[in-house]
Amino acid sequence: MPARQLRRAKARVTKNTADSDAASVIELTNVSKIYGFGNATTVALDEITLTIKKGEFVAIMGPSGSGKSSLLNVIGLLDRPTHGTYLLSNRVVSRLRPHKLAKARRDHIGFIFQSFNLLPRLTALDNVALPLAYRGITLTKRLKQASAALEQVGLGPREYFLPKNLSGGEAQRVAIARALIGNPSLIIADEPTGNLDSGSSKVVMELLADLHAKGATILMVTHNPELTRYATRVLYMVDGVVVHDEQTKIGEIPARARSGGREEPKSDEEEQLEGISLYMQAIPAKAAPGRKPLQKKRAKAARKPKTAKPKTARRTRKVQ
Amino acid sequence: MTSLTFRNIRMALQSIRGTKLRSALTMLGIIIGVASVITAVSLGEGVRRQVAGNVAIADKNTISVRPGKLVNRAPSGRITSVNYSAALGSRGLTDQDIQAIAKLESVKTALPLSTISSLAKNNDDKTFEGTVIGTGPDFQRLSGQKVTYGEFFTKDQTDRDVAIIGKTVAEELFQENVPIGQTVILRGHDFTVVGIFDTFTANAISGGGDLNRGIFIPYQKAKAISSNSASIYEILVEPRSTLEQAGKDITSAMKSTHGDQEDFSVLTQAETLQLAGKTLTALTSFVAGIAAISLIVGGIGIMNIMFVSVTERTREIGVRKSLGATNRQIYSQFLIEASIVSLVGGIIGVLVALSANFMFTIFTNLRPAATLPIIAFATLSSVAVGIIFGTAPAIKAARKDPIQSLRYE
Repeated sequence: MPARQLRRAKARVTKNTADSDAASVIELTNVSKIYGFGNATTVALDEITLTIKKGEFVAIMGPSGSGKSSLLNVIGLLDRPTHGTYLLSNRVVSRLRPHKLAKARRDHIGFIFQSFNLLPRLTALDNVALPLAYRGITLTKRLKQASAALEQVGLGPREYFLPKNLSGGEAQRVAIARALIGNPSLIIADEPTGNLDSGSSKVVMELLADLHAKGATILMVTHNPELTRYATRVLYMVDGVVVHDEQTKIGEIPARARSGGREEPKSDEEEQLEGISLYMQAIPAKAAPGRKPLQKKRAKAARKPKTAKPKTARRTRKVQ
Repeated sequence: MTSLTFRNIRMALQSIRGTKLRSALTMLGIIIGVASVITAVSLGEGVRRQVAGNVAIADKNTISVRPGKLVNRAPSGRITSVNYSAALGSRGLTDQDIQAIAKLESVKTALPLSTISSLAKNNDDKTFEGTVIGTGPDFQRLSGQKVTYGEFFTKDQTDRDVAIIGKTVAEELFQENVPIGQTVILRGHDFTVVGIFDTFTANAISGGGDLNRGIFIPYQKAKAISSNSASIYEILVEPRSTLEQAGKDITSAMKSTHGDQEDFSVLTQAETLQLAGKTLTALTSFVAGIAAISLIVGGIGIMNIMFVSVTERTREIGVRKSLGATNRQIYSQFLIEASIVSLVGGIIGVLVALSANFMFTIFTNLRPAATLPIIAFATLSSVAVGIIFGTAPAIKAARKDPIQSLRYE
């Protein structure tokens, strides 16, 4: 064994003995992510130091642009940090080459996306079995495991459905089955209920809570304060920094989550205004089709005088 | 890794099934390319074989003497160059030549092949434009051609008015399969049909013309009815000794009758075949080259569609990468997909070519020969086209950034 590897192995051992209470799944030390250069530099993550232990259910909250997605991408091994060290299950992964990164992702991370991201041409069963294919597991074995995973999320009878024939809630449950099938060290859920109605949301969250109860480590980004009741720990991010880190009890919604993560107490007026602005923020996404005709009308109105002008000009010329 | 490749093949088939029309159109280019390459090459090969069986107006152990110095030879006897136009200016062969050759110690038979121009008529004044060939009684034996009905004329019948006709003559002039005993009128002379030849396989080189349209009469009679103007286009010689010895003897004997001019060619059947083969190979590779261009165009079609497909499936690529697919695995997925499209196209192309060949066999007297090496080569080259033109799109797919791809709408 080369000297360097030996040293690393030793470091790993000492690390393990140091954190004696619970094994940490994720250890970020001074992790930064910087996009662009020169005047266009954006600091998405600013020297974040964070440890997530095995069995935690962490919810991350924060306004858009606060660096939640960047953090998820770095932790989910889709992206490499610009600076800092990232230990995933006590292994340094912050400087891995892309194909090693892919393999670490394959073996340690399960993703659940807001928009489900099932492959449209594969059946539910094939979708769930997909991560195992990249591990080189034989077809019969992975279909068997996938079938069991679907059973676990209560979709046993939907095995041969294509994603287009599943409801949103069902699709997300298939995605959960896909995320948990490889027995990952960490499940990353990026607004898992963002596209679901409240009923389906509840089913999906209960499933995640169930997984958590069975020992899974879950990292979830959400805008919905209600969902923090499932978490054991809530992080608030602003401008690439974790501004608050709070342990909570399952079933409780921390007051801070309700206020969107702000610290100082607010007057009623402020709260109302914020409510309105939150509401306005929510509108564009949902009411976009309704707004389009309005824009068109405006565009037409703007165009009319332009086309009208030459006509009148011509007419007047004719009269003359 | 094996299960992964298998999975890729399964995936590719699924994806092809998912976009049937598009895949079919993509394959069309490859289908046309492969089919035309195979058809061109197998036609060439088929004609070569027909020539072999036929220039070869058959027996390999014979020598052809033809007018015109068609070839130049090295002192060793090897052919160094070919000049087909030499036949045009030279004077034809004569009875003198036949006699000179027949006299030779090393020669067993010297058989003239001559043509006279004549319309053939039957008793009802129906006409037929065929080839009237004056030859000797040994023709049937040396050509190896079967006479299906009746018999070829014998040595004793060379002064009789008899004719053996090709199958087409029977069908078109007499409108029956066995017109034995019927009369065919050549230059006002009545000849009795005594035999009908079996179908001659196509006759690309030998003597020119389709022997199925031939009316074979004794050489003496041909001379008689054409007032000695029957021109001998070939003397077929059956040697008594070795081919080499006979060839040398014939050349020197002919030289003396031709005033020491070598304005004739003495070729063994193997050599004739070789000459024909050379021309055919050049022609075949020329046509196959043109057909190969369409294969390349088909490949570009595949590249186009694969690029579109990669862009369309950006999100899928992102999802796969997030599930742990390495760049290499994405790369091989798309490459295998392109190869399968072209392989399936290639296989369909082979089937199209085979049915085209079948059509040729039915409707023409060409006999295309699609040999296994040709088919294997065309199929492999279709896969090669898929790999070559699938590489760029596959690289593009593999290099996609997972985060961007996951956001792609």
